[in-house]
Amino acid sequence: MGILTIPLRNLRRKPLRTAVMVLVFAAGVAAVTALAHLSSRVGESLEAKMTAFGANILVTPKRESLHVSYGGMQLGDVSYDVKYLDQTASLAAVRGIHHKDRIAAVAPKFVLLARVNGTAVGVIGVDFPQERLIKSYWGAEGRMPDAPDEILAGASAAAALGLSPGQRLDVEGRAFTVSGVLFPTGGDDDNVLFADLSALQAAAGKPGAVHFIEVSALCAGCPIEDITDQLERALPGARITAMQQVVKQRMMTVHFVQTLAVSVSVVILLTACVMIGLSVFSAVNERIHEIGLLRALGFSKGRVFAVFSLEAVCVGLLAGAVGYAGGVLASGRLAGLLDLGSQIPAAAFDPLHLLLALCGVPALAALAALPPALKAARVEPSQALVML
Amino acid sequence: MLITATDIVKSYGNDAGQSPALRGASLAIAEGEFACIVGRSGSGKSTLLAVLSTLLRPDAGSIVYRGAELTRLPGRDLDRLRSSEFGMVFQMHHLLPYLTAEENVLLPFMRGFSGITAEQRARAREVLTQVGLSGKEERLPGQLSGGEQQRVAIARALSPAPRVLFADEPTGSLDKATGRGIMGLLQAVNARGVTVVMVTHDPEYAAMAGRRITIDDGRVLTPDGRAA
Repeated sequence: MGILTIPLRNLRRKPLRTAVMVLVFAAGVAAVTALAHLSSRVGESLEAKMTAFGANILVTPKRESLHVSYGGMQLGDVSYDVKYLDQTASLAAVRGIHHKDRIAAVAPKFVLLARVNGTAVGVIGVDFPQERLIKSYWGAEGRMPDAPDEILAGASAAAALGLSPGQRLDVEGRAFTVSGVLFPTGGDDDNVLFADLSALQAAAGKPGAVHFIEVSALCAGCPIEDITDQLERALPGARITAMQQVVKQRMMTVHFVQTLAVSVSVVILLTACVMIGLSVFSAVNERIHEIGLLRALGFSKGRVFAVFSLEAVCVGLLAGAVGYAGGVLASGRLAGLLDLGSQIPAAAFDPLHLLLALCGVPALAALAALPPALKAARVEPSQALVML
Repeated sequence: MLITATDIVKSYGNDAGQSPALRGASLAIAEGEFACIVGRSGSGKSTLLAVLSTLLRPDAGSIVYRGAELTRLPGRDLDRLRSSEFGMVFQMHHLLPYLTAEENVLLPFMRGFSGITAEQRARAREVLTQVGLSGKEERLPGQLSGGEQQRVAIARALSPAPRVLFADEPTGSLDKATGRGIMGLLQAVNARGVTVVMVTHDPEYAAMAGRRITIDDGRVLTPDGRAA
């Protein structure tokens, strides 16, 4: 029983007022905890979702080429020699970099110019499961290929070649069946045919060779430059190109979410602080005689200041614990409500974060109670007690 | 003399207007005395008590307590003085409603972060017994009568074993019978060696004190009715 008895007993004396103060502050802490967790995870989730709309790193063999144009006619690149990437080694290298956990999809491509039904058409060998990770927007009449001898036709290519689902065709002497025709995408995918990578490599007599690899990296946890540096070291014979525009667009969205969360958190905490401050102000006014009495009994100004600050600290301590626990639970529930449950790991209890809440929230509460506590400390006993 | 106050001046108000409460009041209190300050309403008796007990700083004049000039002491020394040498009793008991009778008596010892010692608790029980409240230690103020509440307030003032007890109208809010009981208690406290300085407007209670100090218009009067 010491000076702490006074704030503790006073809090217990007015349970409703204490409960409201704790709940308001705890709600603020819970909101901040939940938002902090959700914003970082939602950022990652958003990025993972955006990854489905394309890769952000291109891995190609190093080569010397000339871009030829003459009289307004684009004649394309003329390579002195065609180089390939070794599929197995390259994929292993990409999957083996330090930031491998940031790699969402690795989609190798083998490109072949073939004649189908007498018409020249580009056939792209792809790893369909990986390809669909970066092109989740693909939709098709028919179905996606699930066997090595099946082909997916781009909308324009199918129209030009007269292809429809179930139709058979030959590519470089190998028979394929059209499993589906892509709905128009408005991009290059409309003009080509997609075949199984291994099957096309075998048909072209280039097993294990790929022309380029598209990589989709998640950049919320590290800069894209780190990943490209690591890829360059892992693949010295390859040229690594980061598609900065794509990356910047994604990071802008992620940062927007995080900035929004921080702003909302600050507003919530400020509101909670104002509530605490007002509540302590009202307590000081209510207990003016008590303050005068304490001063008359020899309590120094510092001790009176401590009584009211400790009251706020006690509220902050309780609110920190309740709010942190509530925030951890709420973030799990909110993730479910926002349909992010599968992408966001349930918020884990972190002793360090709890410690931060138990230290930071009481400090914030004490800061909020500073003006009223100072007012209490300045009360003169004669003003408060003596009827002069 | 235990306390010597000389030419005490104290005014209330601001630059727009000053209202003088004490106009050069002088008095001396001997150790072990039971002095009663009397005077009509607005004469300055409560202000004089507040100044003597260091609750209020005078605008001018000198107060010497056991050789120390109180008007020059910094606030923290006055706090220390009030916590160890002076006990205060007010017209209203000012008990903290959320503390039991014993805890209210222990309040002067709750200034620190360390707990209450066994000696302090024993002292609280002792003074509660002295004021006739043995067995009511665990009661909250709301569970006590007005007279009992004032007794707890006196016990609270006595718990740090003060040298001087200042009482401002301690019977002011009590009925006559209860007031007489409180006066008897203050006499008993004084008999144990504690100097008592009390303010009252009631002649009956004033007659129970050993010495009567009359104040009028901010000045202490001599026994023959002149300003001292």
